[in-house]
Amino acid sequence: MSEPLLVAENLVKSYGGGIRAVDNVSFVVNPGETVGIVGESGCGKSTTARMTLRLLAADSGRLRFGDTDLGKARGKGLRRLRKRLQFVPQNPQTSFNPRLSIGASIAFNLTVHGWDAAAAKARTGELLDHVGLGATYATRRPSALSGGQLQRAAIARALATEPELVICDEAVSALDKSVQAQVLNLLARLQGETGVAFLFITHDLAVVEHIADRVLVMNKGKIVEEGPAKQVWSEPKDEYTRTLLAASPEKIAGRIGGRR
Amino acid sequence: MLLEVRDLHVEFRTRDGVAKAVNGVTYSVDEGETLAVLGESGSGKSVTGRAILGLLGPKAAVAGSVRLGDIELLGAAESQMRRLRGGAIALVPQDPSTSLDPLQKIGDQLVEALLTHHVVGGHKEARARALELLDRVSFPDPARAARSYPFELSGGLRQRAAIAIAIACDPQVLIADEPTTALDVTVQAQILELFAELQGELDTALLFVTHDVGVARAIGDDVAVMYAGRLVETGPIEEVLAAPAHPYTAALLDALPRPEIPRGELRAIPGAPPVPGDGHREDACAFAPRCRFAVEACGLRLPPPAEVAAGHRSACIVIDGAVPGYGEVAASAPAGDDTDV
Repeated sequence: MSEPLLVAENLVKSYGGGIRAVDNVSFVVNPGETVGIVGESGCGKSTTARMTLRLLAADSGRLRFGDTDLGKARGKGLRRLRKRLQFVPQNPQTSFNPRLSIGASIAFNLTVHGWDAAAAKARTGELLDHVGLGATYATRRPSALSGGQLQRAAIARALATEPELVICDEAVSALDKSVQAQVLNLLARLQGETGVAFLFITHDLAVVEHIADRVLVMNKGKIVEEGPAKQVWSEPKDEYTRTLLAASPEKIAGRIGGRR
Repeated sequence: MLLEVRDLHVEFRTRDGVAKAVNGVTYSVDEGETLAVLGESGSGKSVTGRAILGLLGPKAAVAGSVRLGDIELLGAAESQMRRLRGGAIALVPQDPSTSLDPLQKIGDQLVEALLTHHVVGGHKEARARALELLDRVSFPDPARAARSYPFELSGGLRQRAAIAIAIACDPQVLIADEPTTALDVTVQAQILELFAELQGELDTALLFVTHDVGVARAIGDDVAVMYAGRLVETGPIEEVLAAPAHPYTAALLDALPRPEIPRGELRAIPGAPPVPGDGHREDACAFAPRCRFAVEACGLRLPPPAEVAAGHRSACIVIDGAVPGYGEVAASAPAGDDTDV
């Protein structure tokens, strides 16, 4: 086993009123692995993602990325890390600048990391091809794309810098189910081709079971269960995990109504 | 039938021309029955619900017929609709944080609904009835809930409050528009159970609009599957989900992640669902461009709904793998992960 890519140790984050949104959370992500964090609203999964991206400072705890202390990185050092650590947010409609073309938004993520404009433009075309959109989408505005197309573009933008880890925060949650499957397949294919690791935050149990190697179940700021996704799904050990799985509509279908 | 929607059409006038959101929808719900209306974004499922309630406003052109018992709702006077809305027909909207009045206590909002529809004698009786209703939707402390403002309640409790208001005047028809979509899965389970319980007691006709196949299965007796403003398949829900007749229903069910499907091998549907006004064809099958079974004839005319089993209809010209007059139809290869966006 190679060295872990990301190591989070005892992360703590409190918001006003002394509520611990994230309470002593530790986990690792290995190279090329997909780790899912699943839980309900307020469980701390998005706060964990934001701390990992250094969009939010942890109150205490350590974050190591490769051999660098991610938690202490500043300025140029942090920017170099961000090239290796990218993000796909939930809502692509608000994550793209509406006044820029898709291509300009993607190219920006390259020029900011030192690419010259012409090379960035050429690479943008390749990336759009690679996510199944085609280079012609470079000139379009975000408003001209459907939700699924925009999420492909957001994936292209995240992969532009050849990152080692991409954090996906509810990246397929806003998509129609008939489109969600395309994007999940795309993520799996890109992982196979590039060896990128994913930290996949979601509330959707079926999605995490499908996409993740390992899953962390969070409740009230704590990781309550951790294990291989298939195993957590089929033999949940923690009481909360069991409650969560039992609440899925597929499971309650037999319990309620009773008129059929 | 208590609620009968016949050949409903809804068009919106926009800057870019006319966008057809609902295109000839026909369904009915009887008392004590739950019809799940299942569709993706832009399918027209919510617009249909709002058209029934007369809530679409002046930019919408609505045609067809919506009957509540003997009353024709389309074209009814606004004064009559105002009496019916919140009375005989009530709505539970998706997001209770925007449907409840943020500046009024929950109890006062219930009292207002009860007094407006004259279902109680006076203010004192309304207060008592409001507490009963909050108890009925399982607030642990109804008196405290009545004194609360919406912001003091969690999302699940707000939705319970919205349901209490909806059932306040004993509606004959309840339209629930994605009422659990914004909720966590454990809270969603509780709200679905509440709907099922209330349904058993109140004997309403429940029209439950959702994008979620699992939710539709949990709550529905019958299902109406919508795509691009049309009904593509209707029937008893267990039968439709177990043996879908329309290629869209089948493909939608097939696209869902399931434990036995290896990663990256989901059976995705290529492309995206059409939205009103995007120029998709309205005189032919709108699913044909994404359909594995599409043949030339699919682009020539609209497939009428045909009965495939008792009470089970599908609007597709391909029946049991064959098109009448065309013979056997072979499915094309399943779509790759990301072709034809």
